[in-house]
Amino acid sequence: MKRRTFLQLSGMTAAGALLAGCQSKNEKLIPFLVPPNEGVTPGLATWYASACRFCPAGCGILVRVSEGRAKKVEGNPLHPVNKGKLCARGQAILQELYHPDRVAQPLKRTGARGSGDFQRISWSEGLALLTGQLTALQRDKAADRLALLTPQLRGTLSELTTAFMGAFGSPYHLSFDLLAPDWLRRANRLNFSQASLPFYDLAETRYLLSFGADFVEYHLSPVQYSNAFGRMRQERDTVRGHFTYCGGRMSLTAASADRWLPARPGSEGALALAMARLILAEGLYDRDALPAGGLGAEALLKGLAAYDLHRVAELSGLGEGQIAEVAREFAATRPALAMAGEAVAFQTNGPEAVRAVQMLNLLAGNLNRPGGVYPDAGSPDGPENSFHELISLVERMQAGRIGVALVQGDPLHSIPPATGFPQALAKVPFVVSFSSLLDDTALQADLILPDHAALESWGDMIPLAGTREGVIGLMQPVVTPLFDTRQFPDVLLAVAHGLGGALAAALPRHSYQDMVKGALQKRVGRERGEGFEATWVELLRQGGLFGTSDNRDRGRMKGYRRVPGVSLPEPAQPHFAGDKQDFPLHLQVYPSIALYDGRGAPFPWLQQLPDPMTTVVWDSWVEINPQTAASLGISQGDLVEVTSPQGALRLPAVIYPAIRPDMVAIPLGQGHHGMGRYATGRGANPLALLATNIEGKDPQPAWNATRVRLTRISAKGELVTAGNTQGSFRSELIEM
Amino acid sequence: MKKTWLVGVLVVIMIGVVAAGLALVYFLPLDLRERSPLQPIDFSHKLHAGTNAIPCLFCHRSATRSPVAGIPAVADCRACHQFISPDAPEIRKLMGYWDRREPIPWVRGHALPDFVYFPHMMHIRAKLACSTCHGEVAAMERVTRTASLKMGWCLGCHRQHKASIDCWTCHI
Amino acid sequence: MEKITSPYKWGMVIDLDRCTGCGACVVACQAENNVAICAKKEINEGRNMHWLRIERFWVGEYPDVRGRFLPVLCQHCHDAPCEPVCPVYASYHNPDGLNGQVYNRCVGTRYCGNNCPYAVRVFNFYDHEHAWPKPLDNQLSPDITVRSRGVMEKCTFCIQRIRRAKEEAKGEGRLIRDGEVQPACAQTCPSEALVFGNMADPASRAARLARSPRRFRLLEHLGTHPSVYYLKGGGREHV
Repeated sequence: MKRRTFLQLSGMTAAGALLAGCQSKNEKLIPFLVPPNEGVTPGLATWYASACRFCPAGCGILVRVSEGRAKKVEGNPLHPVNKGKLCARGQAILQELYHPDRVAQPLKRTGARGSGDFQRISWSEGLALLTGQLTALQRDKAADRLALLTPQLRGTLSELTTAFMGAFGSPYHLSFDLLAPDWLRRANRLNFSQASLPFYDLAETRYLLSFGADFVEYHLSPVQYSNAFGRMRQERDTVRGHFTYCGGRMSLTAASADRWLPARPGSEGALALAMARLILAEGLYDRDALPAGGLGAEALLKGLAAYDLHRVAELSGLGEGQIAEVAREFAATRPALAMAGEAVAFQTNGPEAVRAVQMLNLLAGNLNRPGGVYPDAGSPDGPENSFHELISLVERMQAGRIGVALVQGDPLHSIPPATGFPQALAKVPFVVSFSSLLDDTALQADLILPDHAALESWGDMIPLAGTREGVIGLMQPVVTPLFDTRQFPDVLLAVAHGLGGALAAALPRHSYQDMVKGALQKRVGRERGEGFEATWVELLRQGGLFGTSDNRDRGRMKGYRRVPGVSLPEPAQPHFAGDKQDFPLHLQVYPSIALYDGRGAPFPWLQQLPDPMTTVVWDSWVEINPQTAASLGISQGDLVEVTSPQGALRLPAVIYPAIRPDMVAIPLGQGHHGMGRYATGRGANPLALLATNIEGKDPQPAWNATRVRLTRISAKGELVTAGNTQGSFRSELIEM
Repeated sequence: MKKTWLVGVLVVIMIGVVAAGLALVYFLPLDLRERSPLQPIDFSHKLHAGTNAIPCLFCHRSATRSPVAGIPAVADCRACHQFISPDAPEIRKLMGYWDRREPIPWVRGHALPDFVYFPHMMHIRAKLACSTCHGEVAAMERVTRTASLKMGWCLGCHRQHKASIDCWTCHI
Repeated sequence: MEKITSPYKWGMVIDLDRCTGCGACVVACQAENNVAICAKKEINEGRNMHWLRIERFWVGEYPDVRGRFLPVLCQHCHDAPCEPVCPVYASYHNPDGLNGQVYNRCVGTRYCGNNCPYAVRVFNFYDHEHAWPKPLDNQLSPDITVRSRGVMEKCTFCIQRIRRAKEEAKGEGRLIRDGEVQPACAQTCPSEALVFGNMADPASRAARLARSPRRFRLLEHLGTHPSVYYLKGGGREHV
């Protein structure tokens, strides 16, 4: 090529490039193929009512949907539990729907368990695999070799699983939640012969005394009780409710208290009884309440003789004056309310301590009164000792007597390994997981049949607690399913019909949606007569069945009445795993407000949400009193090894001024082996440290009864906090 | 020696050409391809809106209540054209899209950047004619953008009509 | 320049006695406003993008220690230190009394963030496109811009919601009613600690609360005249 042509050509190219660069690429304008339904306008958002299934509280939600995509989750103002409000976790369920690592179709294991090697298969293949396994069990007359593991279920899903397991012929349906309020149901069964959960009328009370009940974070119905707490403080013109919190670690709930009593772990029950004794001795109790409860003041005082102020002050590490002051205030203020929570219940003497706290309510005469305690109508009955069922199932699995395990949820992460569950699950020849992310359990499964995300699902959501009226929340899909997934109950139905026989007869309907609709029709039919189709649409529109005076529930929701002759609570000396010399510190594990028991870990919004008390992000940590830390040479952010008789973990240290010097605390939620890119390999799971056989006794769910020791490892804890850990402003400048 | 001179002249000419090109791009509405894009189907607004006098809102039906005016779904086009000249070549193309269950990839003639919020309904509520911004579409075979859609042009009209000129009215 | 007047002066009242520090508002804000998801490393470098944060203060020492929470968002000052320093007028005062930030105008000098005593303006140090790997990008709201690298951003009191409410009210020929529009944070707050409203309307709930004897404003001595009022948290007084 001549130089001249080259120059000409290059000049033209340059000019051409310039011209082309000034022209933007035209966008496309894509029309609908078929116009959407009436009421959907392009460019305008639509709100669909549904229900949140993140935690058992079951709040009502509204989902904003623009152009077929879910954009934002808000509280449903019509829902009686959350009244239009929603917690951080509830809003993050959007990220469950759009999580980049969702299991898009059924998977079959190809590599070793836990290797994460899976092969994509079709649904027909997956269902055939499962049906094949179940047919083999039926053929061998070994139906009881099937186990079903789920969180605690309610409503239609619970009916479905019960019918499925019943018709198949296996009694091994374990519904276990680490944080389930079995202990509270059991205490109420003993005291009041009904297993309902309590509804605390926080909004109307004037004096709230909480023994380790963290209602802002997770206790029973956090949104409902946070809302009621706000109203207790500032909704009434002349009354501001007082709040005293009793517990060794200042939780987020406790941070809002006016007074904090850092009682020694395990001493809370005795503390409550010491207060009761003082109230009786000084005659400050409610005169009508005692005879109604079948009690006499004299006899009661005698029964509580062991709990004198001096002894209990020593037990709890609090001042005598302090205890007496709170007791007198509690008794002198009406209405006053005492709550018992998980921090107390998960001790070896927990069940009795919870009853001891209830004794205070009896003395204050606040049973079934405004500002007091009512039976909760949310779910009036439920498992009362699911931990016992867990232990017996683990034994069966260990003995090789379970052939197929269907697992919904992530028990490998949320069951303490000290129960022997991981080894037991490894012994089950065929494990099916229904997780929508490759969580710890799914990684060990042989078959994964991925569930829909909550926002793609049908269902009814009966709130665990937080309401005095019968509530059925309805879940409906707000978007078309993103992937080739199927709802867990629909899979069970498909399997039932594939197996035929008694199973198909027990579950005549072919879709879970029909079952939910049928259940609602049965419920409404009694009250409103015919023409259900219009009612159904209306129920979906408002998000469920609210404000119904269902006769059945009303009949059952008798007020609390103490069972005459029931023994007085006797919170014995607490026992702890770990020798006091070797393991000098009490360990408390608590659900992180963002990640709950770990199910929030895959969502980046929750990982990025600074923990309110420590401002730590994307991590887990161990909280240490400054005095203890100084004596061990530990400073903020150091890498620390926490050792218990059960095992050891390495975590960054957070210097936490509001925890007893003889205590440390670790949040639950992190330490996943899987569960998508945001959760995998982040932080540590403190459940690995917990013991269940404490001092040679039978296994019990005493999650706060393990002792540990700390060793400083290095200065590199890689702790990241979102802000200045002391706050950005000098507090006197902001006049708080 | 002579060759060097030649190269110098060439370079000067080239710079001149580029400058002239830039000037043309800057001053003249040369973005023809963008202003009057070729469409996958030769849809005539002149025939529909002009000759047959179909109102704009018959097809762009969400303009009165939504920020976006909306374009008819393929099913809507088909609803009429099942009966009206179903055998015309362009209609066959349309039916082809319908049969393949594909939406028609129309090309945007009036596009605003992502950081601009333009609500159609507010402008229709203010009694502006569609042609104020879109030109006399009823007379165009192929839609050609007549307005610059630049911020100064927007503001001129907003000032004249005493509409809000707060930045956050459009940039959110 | 013509003078623009408005019947609205938006403001917020935050009752610290109700605030439990739960963080629902933080996630609500992030969800509503396409606020980028920041990795641990970015936050470690002090480049967190939250428009609304909760400050936690320890008062006292064990065992007489208390934790107090202070939600901090843009205070929408009437004499805002961020506004006069912007060389390109990207930071400006809106007729409704809001501190505006025009992203397409911002050139990223960060003078405004530097001048803000409340540290509520955040800068996009990174291209956050990677923050929403597919299909997570489906959650992005179409109502507001996704900000790019090099741009300063901040709380807008959910201007997109205000705008929608204004459009609706205008269509019906009325003003926005009290409680009709709420930013995402106030809407979700479980304990109803955050109340948003029109301070120009003395009967609005927010305006009434802002007259409470418990009120104070953050760093009031600086003379910034914020639109956000705080109500003092509970002391040891009770019942």
